[in-house]
Amino acid sequence: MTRKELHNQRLLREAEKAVSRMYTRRHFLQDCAMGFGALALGSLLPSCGTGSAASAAGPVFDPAHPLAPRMPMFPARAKRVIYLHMAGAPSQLELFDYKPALAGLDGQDCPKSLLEGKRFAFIRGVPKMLGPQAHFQQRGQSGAWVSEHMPHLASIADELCFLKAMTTDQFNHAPAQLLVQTGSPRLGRPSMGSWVTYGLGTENENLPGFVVLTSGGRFPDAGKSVWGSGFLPSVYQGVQCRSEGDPVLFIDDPQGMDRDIRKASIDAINKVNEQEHAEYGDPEILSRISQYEMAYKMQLSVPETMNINDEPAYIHEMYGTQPGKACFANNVLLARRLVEKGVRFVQLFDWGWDSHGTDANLAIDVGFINKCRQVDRSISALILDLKQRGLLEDTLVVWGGEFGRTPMMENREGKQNPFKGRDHHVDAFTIWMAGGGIKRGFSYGETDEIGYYPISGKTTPFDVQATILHQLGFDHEKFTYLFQGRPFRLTDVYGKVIEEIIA
Amino acid sequence: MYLLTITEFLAHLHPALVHLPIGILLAALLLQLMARQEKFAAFRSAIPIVLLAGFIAAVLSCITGFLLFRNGDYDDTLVSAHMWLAFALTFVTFALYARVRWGTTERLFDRNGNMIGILLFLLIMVVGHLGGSLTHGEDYLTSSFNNTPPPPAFRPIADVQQAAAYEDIVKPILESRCNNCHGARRQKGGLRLDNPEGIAKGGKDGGVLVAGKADSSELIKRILIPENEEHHMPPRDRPQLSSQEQQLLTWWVDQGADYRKMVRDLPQPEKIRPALVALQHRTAPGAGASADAIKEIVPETAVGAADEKAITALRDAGVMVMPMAQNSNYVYVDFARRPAASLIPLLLPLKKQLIQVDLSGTGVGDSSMEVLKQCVALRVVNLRGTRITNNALSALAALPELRVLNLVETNVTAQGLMAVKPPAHLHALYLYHTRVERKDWGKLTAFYKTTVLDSGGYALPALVTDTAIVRQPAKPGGK
Repeated sequence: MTRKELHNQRLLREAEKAVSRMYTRRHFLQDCAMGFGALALGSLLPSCGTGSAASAAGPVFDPAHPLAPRMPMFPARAKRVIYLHMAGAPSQLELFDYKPALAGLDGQDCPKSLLEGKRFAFIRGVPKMLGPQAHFQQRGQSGAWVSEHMPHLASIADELCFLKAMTTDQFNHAPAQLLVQTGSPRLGRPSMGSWVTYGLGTENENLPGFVVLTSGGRFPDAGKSVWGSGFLPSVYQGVQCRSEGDPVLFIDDPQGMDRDIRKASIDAINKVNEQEHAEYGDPEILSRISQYEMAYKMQLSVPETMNINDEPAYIHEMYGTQPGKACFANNVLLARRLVEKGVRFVQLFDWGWDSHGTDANLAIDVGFINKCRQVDRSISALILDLKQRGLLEDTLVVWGGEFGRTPMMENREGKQNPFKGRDHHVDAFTIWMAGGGIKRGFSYGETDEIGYYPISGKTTPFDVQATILHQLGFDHEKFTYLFQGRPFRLTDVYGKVIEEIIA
Repeated sequence: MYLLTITEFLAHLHPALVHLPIGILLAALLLQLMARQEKFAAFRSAIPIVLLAGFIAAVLSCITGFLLFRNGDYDDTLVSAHMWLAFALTFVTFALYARVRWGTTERLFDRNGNMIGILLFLLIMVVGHLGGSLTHGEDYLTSSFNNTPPPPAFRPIADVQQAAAYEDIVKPILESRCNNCHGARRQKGGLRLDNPEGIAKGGKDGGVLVAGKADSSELIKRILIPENEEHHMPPRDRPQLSSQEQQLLTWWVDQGADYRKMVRDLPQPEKIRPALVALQHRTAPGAGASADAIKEIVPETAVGAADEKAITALRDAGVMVMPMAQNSNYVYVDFARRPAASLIPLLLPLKKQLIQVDLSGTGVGDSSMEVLKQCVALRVVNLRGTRITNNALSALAALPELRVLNLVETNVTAQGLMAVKPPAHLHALYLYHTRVERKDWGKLTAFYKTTVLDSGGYALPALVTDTAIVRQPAKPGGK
């Protein structure tokens, strides 16, 4: 069979699958039952349109209940994920990757060998080396290096697992953020949270399965695509909530409309939609009906969940929240409230970590320190709070940026920047994880003496994605979605579960 | 020199060439079978020429095969059966051909002709299978039937300092990762790694080990280069060395690649310590942490399917019942904060399958524990924010498989917790916002020796850095 024939056959199969969704459940089951020995639970039936191999593959999309909870492929260590994305990419050299040798090189010209064949976002010509702009200490029993910039996090270092030899191949923010969150540097792929809600649904029928919160005054550079659903049904895209004002725009009924009238109007709309579905059988109509119902339930559940005022004072103090304001600490507390209520994937974006040294806010020895102080307390509180509630057992927390920063001082267009700063660096950066069946007090991977290249335990965003899916009970190589004639997966053709960090 | 290269080239043709005699001879046998009938009598004249072609192909295969054997990548004993039977096959082919060439076509269909045909067929099957086993490994054909991982080659090490560096650490790694191709059975590239002599001798292209210099040792270089490089070992589709195994081999070579020394006699740089200590906890090679971890989540033994009616009843009441995984009958039940006291008896039909239960915020009390007590497979129980008291603890402590118990926001006390015997496998007990008093904490942790107790109530100190804003470039270490 030629490649083209194979491709056509896949397209045909996909079309057949799409048609089969329009059958009633009974027809659907009848059709499937022929080739299937064990139909354990009708509603959890694996896809049968794509042949026998698919029986072990991803879940089937049930348009009437797109967010119903579903089981993982194998027993999971984690049930939910909080991803703290520091948009702009924090400097690993001032936080976790301690390089005393770099201090000795401070102010010297960067050796040619490090620059040959390299391309940087802004560095031109020969930059100077920049020593660590922070004091480091080994923390806790694990002896992890954490700098003075995050004193609270340093005190809980034994709860964390550092990946210190992360690499990526994208040196601009938008593609790099997309790579971290969607597994591709280009637009159009579903984000990690969408894959996870597609695979596992949500445990709370009144709340969306995938919630996004942003802070720092700006959206991530890659825009809303970092929580988009790509080619997955749109019901799986991240629902962005605001921590100031209405959590979701227009969530309150307008004046003069009470809840009964709202209910009656939604019922009426759904009735029309049901007739429409009876006539045309398009599954997207069922999706629409369930989205109306979800929106109606969210009118009550979201404001209740998003209202942090009912938290006791000591919790506010612990997180350092500022009720009523849009700030990172509030979002972190909200993240805990959301996972506590059964939300599957909470993604936080905090902008402002792009420490180039072009102005004081983006200086490694001014603005960067302030950013660290903004997040230090709340993140540490989150880990401790999840822990004391027993939630860290099965909640995976991930913290990181989209790439690292250079051991050289940035010299934009060959000229000295007004402040100390570092350029984007793809070859080495640090992220950490906690909970969800990941080792505590552990570091994996190391970089060379100046933090330029990994020398062992190199990992990529694909490896992290594979590991997150693994902890949630999915084999990243088998968890696929058929689109345009080929099965797609979050990690594309890459990624390896980082077995070394699994507890 | 050229002659050697040419013979090697010819030898490498063998795996492709062997398919010719198999195909041609099977075709000849098929013709022989069909031509017995008058309808296909026209085929008869074609049989001798097909047999001759098969014979020539068989002879070529024998020659190239013999050259391959001479190159020495394979084990003598295994090859000999394949080789001698292949010679026999060639001879039988010739015999069958000879019956027609120097006799009559009818001799193909007499008793002896039939017997030779059947013998030839059997020989093709056996020789082909033996050849396949040599190339792909003996377990290749049946590998889809036995999913069970190979038995652990590692003996658990009680005290790593008392272990022999080669015998207890290096050898088992080589055994599980390398010896399939570089062992007694096969010596790909002329290399065998299953004994010190083989390691010292190296392969076709020279030595693989420079004692004291891992950087210059081919053995170490090959395993450290990225997996997608052509020269990486083990080959991409084979089980890979874990990073700890890589570290251990590198360390052993760097320390002189000694075959007799104990671990305690070798220098141990800071970096190798964790890998060495990890050996003491190791259970099976390559199984990695995750296989063990899964055993912790669900029992290894399978269980029958849960009663569908009971599951439906719970679901109708708004309770989430979820299998722990695809193809697993073990379930996880989440009451989603609904009042659960009246629903609890519905769990009884699931008592063998119930592994995790979330009763948090459901308002259940001590009376519900009688039901939980019977769910003996339970491993994770969440009773956060329920009305249970010390009276519930005896039932909970009697759960033989209990791993994680969440008693946050309940009225249990230290005295209650110390009045029961700690469950043998309990590894986490959450006691935030309970009546456990700080003064009893020492006694309680001593009582629950193998369990991590979490008192909660964490606070972060107020630091200047929480609110202070830096406006000027700051010196490291300053406030």
